[in-house]
Amino acid sequence: MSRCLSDRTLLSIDDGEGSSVQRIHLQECETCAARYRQLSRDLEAITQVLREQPPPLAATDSARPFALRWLPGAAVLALALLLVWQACGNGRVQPCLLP
Amino acid sequence: MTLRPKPVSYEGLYAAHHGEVLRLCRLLLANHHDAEEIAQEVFLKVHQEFQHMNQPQMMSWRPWLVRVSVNACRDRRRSGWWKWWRAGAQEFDEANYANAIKTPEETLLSRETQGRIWRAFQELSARQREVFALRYVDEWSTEEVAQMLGITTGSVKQYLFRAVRHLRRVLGERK
Repeated sequence: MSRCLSDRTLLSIDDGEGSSVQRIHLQECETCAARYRQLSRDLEAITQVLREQPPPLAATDSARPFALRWLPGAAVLALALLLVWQACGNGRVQPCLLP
Repeated sequence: MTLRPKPVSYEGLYAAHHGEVLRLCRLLLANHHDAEEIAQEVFLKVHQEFQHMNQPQMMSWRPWLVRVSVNACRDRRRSGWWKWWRAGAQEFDEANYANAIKTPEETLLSRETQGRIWRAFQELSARQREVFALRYVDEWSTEEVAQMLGITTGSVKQYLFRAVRHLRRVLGERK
């Protein structure tokens, strides 16, 4: 087997799978062996971080479109204005809040 | 030979698995308070099961706990859209993150990397998070993950591959 192993195959070998041909290739090919070691190191690092006490939240505000961030607030404000407008008799009488 | 579950009490079950359930919920929800609420709900269900089942102490509880926790987290994500909306506005708190590396430079790099990993993990789909958390963090086998989530082992491998590819890409950006 001369072709190097795919990332998917390396992951399946890490999962305890993979054919004997693939395992032999992994032993003989220095490039694939180095990629496999790097995969193991990366998985270990990721798992270690996730096992520790996680931060309160990992999401960031920047991922959300600007308009959507203000949508709930704008909706509440619009509803409040509508209620005030209705309480004042749909604008036909003097504003109830003014002296 | 078939391994039979050891008899357990509710208190013993809570002591043995509460930390694990809480960690899983934190991973899936990325919110400490929600995770604690869900963990409480899960153990309330355990308590109810103990009252209603014939021989609850002989049941294999760990897979059951994982299934109930994953489903409860899924329900929370679906029902609590407003909470998620609000939660998204908060930034990653690097200051609260414990670090064992000594030098300030290493600490800074490591915190940055940890933050990247956490953000990348939250960018995964809900199913990818569930599969990765169960397979690598909780160390269940691929077959067990498939059984607990009600999907095929092929699907588990597919979700895992995509999750690992995304997380490694983010991890590789620092190098």
